[in-house]
Amino acid sequence: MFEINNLDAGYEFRNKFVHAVRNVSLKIDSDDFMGIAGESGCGKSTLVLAALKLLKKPGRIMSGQVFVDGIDILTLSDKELRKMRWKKFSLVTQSSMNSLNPVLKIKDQMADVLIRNHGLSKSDAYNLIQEKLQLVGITADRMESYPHQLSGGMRQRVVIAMALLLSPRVVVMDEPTTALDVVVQRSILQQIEELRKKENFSTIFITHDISLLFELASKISIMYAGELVEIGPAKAVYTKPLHPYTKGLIEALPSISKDLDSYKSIPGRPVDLGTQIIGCPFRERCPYAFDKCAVEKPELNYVENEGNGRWVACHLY
Amino acid sequence: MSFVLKVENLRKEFAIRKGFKILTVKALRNVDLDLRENEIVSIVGESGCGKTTLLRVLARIYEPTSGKITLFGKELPKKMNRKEELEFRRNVQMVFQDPFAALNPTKTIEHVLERPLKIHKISNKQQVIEDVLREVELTPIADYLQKYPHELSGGQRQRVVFARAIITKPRIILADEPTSMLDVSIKSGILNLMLKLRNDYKIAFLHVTHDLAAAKYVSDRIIVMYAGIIVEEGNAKEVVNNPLHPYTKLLKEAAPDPEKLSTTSFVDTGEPPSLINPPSGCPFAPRCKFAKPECNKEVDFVVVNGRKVRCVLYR
Repeated sequence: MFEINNLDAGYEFRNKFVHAVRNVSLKIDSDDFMGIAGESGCGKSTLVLAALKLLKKPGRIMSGQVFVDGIDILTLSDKELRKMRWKKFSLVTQSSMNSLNPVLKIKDQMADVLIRNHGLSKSDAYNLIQEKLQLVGITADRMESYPHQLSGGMRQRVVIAMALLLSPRVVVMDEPTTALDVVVQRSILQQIEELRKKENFSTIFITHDISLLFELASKISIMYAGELVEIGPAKAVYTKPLHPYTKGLIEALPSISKDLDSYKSIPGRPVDLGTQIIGCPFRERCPYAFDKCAVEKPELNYVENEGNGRWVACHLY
Repeated sequence: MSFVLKVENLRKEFAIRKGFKILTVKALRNVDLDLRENEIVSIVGESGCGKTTLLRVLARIYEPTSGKITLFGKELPKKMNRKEELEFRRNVQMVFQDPFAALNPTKTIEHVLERPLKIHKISNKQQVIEDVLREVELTPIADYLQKYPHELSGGQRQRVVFARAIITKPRIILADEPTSMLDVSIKSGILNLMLKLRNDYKIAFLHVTHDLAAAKYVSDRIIVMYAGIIVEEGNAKEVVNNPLHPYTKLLKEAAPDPEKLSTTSFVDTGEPPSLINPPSGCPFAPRCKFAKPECNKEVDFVVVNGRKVRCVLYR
């Protein structure tokens, strides 16, 4: 349904190239809830922006294909792509405060895309908006409000409703709840869960909060230094992580239900994506690193693991 | 163990103007709190519950509206002279949320760490700086002294902030969400650092956070705040494992937890009340599924198994 093939993207500066997405391939089936987790600066946001052809200068897509329903969207012209946006796939961004226009009423900014790109009449558009807003629990009278009159949680709900306007099959969410309080975050996530049942869309969910992701997602991809290092079913990855980085992340996670006496953080810091990486990008922080890691880059391989296999990029397997 | 800090009946109100009217925001309402030597206490709550205001009042950034603050057995005067002020600052240090903003970007780490030594006239600078850097695990020391903040990662910067805080050998550190801007992989490193500093220097921490899991790991006691009042207080592990107040229960349910199987049971109706005219009774009542008519009257603390909880359910 949604397939990323060997995507390479990065940011070009006068004398430097930051290679933020390195040869990433990912496949999302219908009804999947794919979580992508990683530290800040690991390239996860660049990955989605590039995959949706939204990467702005100095960002550049070097190579790769992104198939949505069999069409490679990276080869389409802007005009053709505009017809597919919102209808086939949509994006919910991190901060609703920045993505809503402060001087437009909620209903007008939501109607904009419907009228302009998809040829709906004004009254049809308003009806549709009212229906979608109700889905996320916002009453019709709020359509007349301006963004500043709504709370942070409500604004984020508006953005989610907007992404669902034309019932896309894939909704990409880039840290949709990071700016919100835990309680509000929980109720929005719950709403997303319910919407997924009603509207049947697949989701790509990006966050740095991996405890949240392990709880919600059906599949999970761990990203490190621009590459995916482990892809597999969320529960299995959590109970038996294979890649040392995933292991480290899980051990570093203070958990609310466990009574562990100590947590360990991962030593060191992520590699600079502006440099050429030889060998495994994680080897300097990895407790299991051996000679081979310094010379040969591990490829993403399928590893059979007690009935639930997964993809891991590590020389240990 | 002796108390290093005792707060009684602390109130803080802010005046805001709306047209010609002046309204008061009641950010803290009758907060009582104590902190013992060598203890880490976490204050948890949603944004706007007053946890940061509390910390700032204690750090004398804001002046309290009323209430009594006793520090090391002596009542804190409203006005301080220069000597008293220095003495206070030496004993009470702060660590901020954003390590990117807390360090002067134009000064080297050495300069940042020298400032408190100059101000407090502490001699043997070189040795003291080396000691604190070793303490916060920024070694080899020579690698860091001449660096500027932008050359360090977020976790390293936060360690420098901690180094600066402990350099005057304080007895209390007020930490305002020290891990919320950091990545998961380094978050627990900072929490471990807090535990280590407590053990090595006998520093008491007042730690403000919204992360219940981190609070459970790092602290001895947890204080839960809602709309400017304390609703529950008790042993950290017990508060999280077996929350009593409905609000604490809500917080626990909302916290992300990979061990949890389904999220469908979560019901939340509403948001915190406005602090301009907060309800006279339990502020959580409008949102609470166990609310009763008597919740509209002021609710006092009830002690249940050594824990204080402000809820009519336990009377």
